[in-house]
Order: sequence, then structure tokens, then C-alpha cells
Amino acid sequence: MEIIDYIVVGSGCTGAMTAETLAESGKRVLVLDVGIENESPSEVNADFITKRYTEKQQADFFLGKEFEVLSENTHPNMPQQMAQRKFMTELTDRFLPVASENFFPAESLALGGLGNGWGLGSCVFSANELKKVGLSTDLMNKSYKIIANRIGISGEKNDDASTFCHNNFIDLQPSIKLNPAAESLYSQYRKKETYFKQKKLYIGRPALALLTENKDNRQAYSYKDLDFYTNEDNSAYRPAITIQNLLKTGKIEYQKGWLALRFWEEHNYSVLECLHIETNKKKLFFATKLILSASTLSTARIVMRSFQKRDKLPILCNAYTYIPMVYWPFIGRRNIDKFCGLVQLAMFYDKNADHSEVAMASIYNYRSMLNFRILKQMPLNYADGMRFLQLLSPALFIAGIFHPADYQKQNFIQLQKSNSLSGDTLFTNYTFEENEANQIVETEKLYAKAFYKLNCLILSKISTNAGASIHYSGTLPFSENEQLFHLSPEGKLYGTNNVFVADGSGFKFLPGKGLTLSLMANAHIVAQNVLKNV
Amino acid sequence: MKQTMQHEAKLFAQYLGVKVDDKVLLTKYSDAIEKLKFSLNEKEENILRYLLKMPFLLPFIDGAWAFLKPENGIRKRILVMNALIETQPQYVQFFLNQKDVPFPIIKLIFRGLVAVLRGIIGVLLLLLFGWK
Ligand SMILES: Cc1cc2nc3c(=O)[nH]c(=O)nc-3n(C[C@H](O)[C@H](O)[C@H](O)COP(=O)(O)OP(=O)(O)OC[C@H]3O[C@@H](n4cnc5c(N)ncnc54)[C@H](O)[C@@H]3O)c2cc1C
Repeated sequence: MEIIDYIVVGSGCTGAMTAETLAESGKRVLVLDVGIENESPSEVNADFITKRYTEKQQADFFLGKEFEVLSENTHPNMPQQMAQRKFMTELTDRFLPVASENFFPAESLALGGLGNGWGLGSCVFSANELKKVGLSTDLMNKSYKIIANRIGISGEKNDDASTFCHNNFIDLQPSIKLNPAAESLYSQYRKKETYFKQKKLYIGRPALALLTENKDNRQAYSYKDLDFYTNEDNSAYRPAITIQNLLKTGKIEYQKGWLALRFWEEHNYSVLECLHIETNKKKLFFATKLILSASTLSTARIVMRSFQKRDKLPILCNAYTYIPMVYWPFIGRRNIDKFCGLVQLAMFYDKNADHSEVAMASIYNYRSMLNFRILKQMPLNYADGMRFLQLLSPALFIAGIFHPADYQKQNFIQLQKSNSLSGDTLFTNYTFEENEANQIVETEKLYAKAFYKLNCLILSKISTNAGASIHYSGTLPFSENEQLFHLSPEGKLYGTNNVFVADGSGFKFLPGKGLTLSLMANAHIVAQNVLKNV
Repeated sequence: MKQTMQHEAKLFAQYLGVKVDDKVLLTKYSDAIEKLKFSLNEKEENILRYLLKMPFLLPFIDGAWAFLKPENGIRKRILVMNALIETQPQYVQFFLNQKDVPFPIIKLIFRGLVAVLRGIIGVLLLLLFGWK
């Protein structure tokens, strides 16, 4: 029997950061993962426009070799997924089955997890938000800085959004250059700033985990507008970069193909039972300390199985609204070569004017996802619609609004026996009670008015199904009191001696911003606590 | 490629405004429909047969379905053709503006009005033919 110092389950954003911090101790770190990889990553040497004008085989690239992008069998909350990113959610229906009427979370069993596709939006949580989440402001602010130095974040040091995005806690590379339409939209905001500030709305440049200057062996972003398809030169931070670097330098070991099922403790070590996804054989791994970073929902499954209890656990998920809109001054404009498909601007609504309940809108220019996806949703015949969209598309923006989430009694997850490969299915329920639903509608209206003020015509307001934000947390809330299915503030799972949780399971409140930078910062703190042997 | 599938592909390509003798496009279309398993129900098959004989009806009928029945099987297939056209370099000018378009708003309003008008006529035709 071989006892490894630290076993980390999962290689997503939280697993990668946990592994990196643990590896600094020089002790033995094993990352266990299902670890599905993109078997045939696309090679790209041209930008979007050149590709569109010259490449004969571009249908394979944009639609997938099997026309996957046109298929109707997509994940309910990831209908827009590119063929290049299908691997990210592969096999989840088999190994992480969910039964629900209203909540279908997007989960990943890939090397790098959902971080293979995250939009790179990297906001710090404010002191008020951190308090509600259950995290220490002091520790988190220090940790944000460390994580930002590891992954590389670009953004604007001083604009109206900076207190929401980074509050100058982190070192920033210069922000990306705006696309002309976004530049123009932003200048509209500057002209009407007083109105916006009265409404407690602030627009600025988002902080993104995207390099605008070279860093280590990663290159600066090159504006090829293929951000949803490839990550040329690794300018975007993806957790697989960390895992591969740690492996190359021999700092960690990595075993893929293993689905962690449950753990138990013996003497001074933990035993982890895993199932091999190809052979269906089970194997036991032994660790002095076990760190679960398999994502909020997957970790909850492992913990519920391990405690052999069928309790209902709480769950948090940001409600998500998206608003396609047309910025009319750009109708019929020529398409330019150097372009960025990532978030251009971020708008923040600070409801209580104290950063305690912020709803953020990420504003994107729509282009590289192609016109046919929009055409499909327009109430026009396709032939006229196609010409109509040609004029419209340079002016098309999509704003995605994240609403903050608090616990609601009716929302839960529960593991139920089934004949799936893991022997169970996750039953989920997520609805919005009246107050919350009203607040969501109010925020949507406020945003719609604000966009109108910026000369945008709103095409529609789409309130997505619960789960579509892909921001989940709160299944094993942080607690000062020792109780089952809770985490200590240090990230230790109560009821165990050596099991820690480094993903978002403990977060008791979900601010209406991207959570991932905070997930990574917390993962670093948890890993430090593991090293300190808390 | 089956004869009817070829006719259908040509009908949709022509409707969307591209050359109908593009072999690569036509083959890709039937390949896509097969892989995606976008089958038509009996009623849709019948309507498609009529449309093959009377292609001038398609913009109207499609416009009406866009309002009334966006998930219609024939529309799904036209969208496949549209996506295929969008990803052929020779048709890129239908999707991306190479230069700033003069009087874009007027053109946009005109396009929109034509489309809406076609939709309204289409609704009447659907009622008339009992294709709703
Ligand atoms: C399209 C998209 C855009 C996004 N944009 C943003 C954004 O802009 N900003 C933001 O803050 N967030 C964003 N997110 C959310 C962000 O991706 C997630 O919050 C983050 O990736 C979660 O990281 P994680 O490590 O907790 O889990 P995951 O990324 O889900 O990783 C889980 C890991 O655990 C492994 N695993 C799971 N179960 C098991 C098991 N039982 N046994 C072994 N291994 C297991 C998986 O293989 C994987 O490696 C986005 C997500 C998506 C999909």
C-alpha cells in the first residue's frame, strides 16, 4: 500500500491552483482526474477574416466534422458549444447523471474542466461580498494577488469598473484594445456618465485572464477573433496549462481515467475509491490528505456517497439573462481584421451602493459564432433574414447579466440510487421564489433602459433556465460550528480528519459576478491550510 | 445523393441566393442532413413536394413559419443549408461587409419590411393551403 502525501481530485481551475500551491512544498502530489482531452485540436494559422475568405474546409472548423454545432442533441445549458469544446462536457451524462425538471448544471470531466471554455472574466469579490460568502477579506485579498501573478490578468487600472473588477489588489497587464463598436459604445457612456451613476450603474473594462504581454512561455493575445475555437499561444489562461507545466517540471503526478466515487478514513490516512472509466475496474488510492476540487456538484456527490446519507444539500446558482441588442451607429459597417470575441465591457449595477449585491453584465460583440445562430432565432424568412443580418451583425452586441444568488429553501440537490455507472443519480431542483424573481425582472428592466440610453435597440430579453450561468456553489457551506455536510472556514470537511474541499462548495452566497478568480484564490488558501496541517 | 435530396438542396440554395450547381455544397448538405438525422414528418414531406414544384412560394411560407412554427422540419433543413453557405469562402460576401454599406438604415428597414410583408402573405397562404 502506497500512501501519497496529497491527492487532489480534479484538474479544473480549483484543482490546478490547489496542485500548484501543494507542489511548492516539495511533497508528493497526485492529481486524480477523469481527464478527457481534446483528441484533435484545430490548428489555426489564420485569423477569422482570412479563414472565412480563403479556407475551403472551414465548415469542418466552424460547424464540426460531424456538423455537431447544428445538432439538436446539445447540453440544455450549453447550446452554443463549439465542436472544439465538445470534449469539455463529454461523458458527463454517463458518469454524472442528473435528474431534474428545472436545473441541468453544466459539468466537466475534462483535463482542465470547465476552465477549457471559461470566458476569462476575473472579478474580485468585495469585502461585503466575501463576508456573505464566508471568506476572510484579508486572506482573499492576498490570495487574489498570488493567483493573478500565476495566471496573468489584463485590465484597466482606473476606470469606473475597476473597484468592481480588481480594486487594485492585483497586478494587471494593460487591458485589451476595444473593438471599434465597443469603443464607440463606451464613449456614449462617458458622455452620459451622470445619468448612469445616478442609477448606480458603472461601465468599464473587464479584468480578463488574458495576456496582453508575453508571460513565461505564453504569448500576448493576437486579436484573431477565434477565441471560442482555439487558444493559440496560450494567451488565455486555461487550467490545463498549469497542470502541464507542473508535470513537465516533475512537481506533480497526474493519473487520468479515474472517477472518484467515495472516500473513508483509516488511522492517519484517507482512502479514495475510484472507478476506471474505460475498464469499469475499481481501485483504492491512499493519501495523508485528500483534497476534493472536483467542482461544487461533483464534490457533493463524492461527499454524499462517502457519508452514506441521502440528505438534501443546498445549492446556489446565479440567474442569467442575456440581451441581444443592436448598436445602431454600427449598422452596415465594414468588418475589420483585428477583432476580439471576448468580453469587451463590463457594466455593474450596485443596488445597495455598497458592493454587497452587485449584478454584472458582460458585453460582447457578436461575430465569430457566425450569423446562422442568430438567424435561427429571428422571426423572418431565412433568405431576407440573411441579408438583414449582414447589415446588422457589425452592430450586434450580446449582454449577459449575472444576478446575485442567496440560498432559497426550495433549491436542493440529493443523491438517489439508480442503475447508473456510479450507482446513483443527482436529483436537482432550482426555482426562483417571488421576491428573487421580481428582483431579477427589475434588474433586467434597468439594464434594458441603460442599453437604450447607449443607443442600443434591444432585440429580446432572454431569461435562461436555471443553471445556464454555469456558476454554482454552496453545497457544503462554510460554518464555524462542526456539523456534517459543512466545511470549516479553512476548507476542512467536518466529520473527517484529513479531507479538504478546495472548490466552490463552501461559498454561502454567489455574487452576481464571475466566481472563478475567487474559486482559485480560495483553492490556494485551502491548499496552504492543508500544508499547515490545520 | 438521392435525387429528391439533390432537388431539395438546389431549392434551398437557390432560395438563399447562391449558385445551384455547386456540387460540393449539395453533397455536404445531404451528408449533414443524414448525420444530423433531420427527418421530415409526413405533412412536411408533402409540403416540400409542393414547394419543389412551386419554389416561388418558399420565401412566403418560410416567412410565415418563422412566426408561427419556427421549429418546422423544413426550416431546420434550410438553416443547415444557410450554415453551409456561410462557411464556404465563395459566399462570404453574403455575410460579412467588405466595405461600409451606404444608407444602411434605409436598406435595413426596407429588408425588414419586405420580410414582414412576405411573412404576412405567407400566413394567408398557409391558411389557404391548410399547411398550418
Ligand atoms: C462557457 C463558460 C464560460 C464561463 N465564463 C466564466 C467567466 O468569464 N468568469 C468566471 O468567473 N467563470 C466563468 N465560467 C465558470 C468557470 O468555468 C467555473 O466556475 C470553473 O471552471 C469551475 O472550476 P472547478 O475547478 O470548480 O470545476 P471544473 O472546471 O468543473 O473542474 C472539475 C474537474 O474535476 C474533475 N472531476 C469531476 N468529477 C470528478 C470525479 N468524480 N473524479 C475525478 N475527477 C473528477 C473533472 O475532470 C475536472 O478536471 C464559465 C464557464 C463556462 C462553461
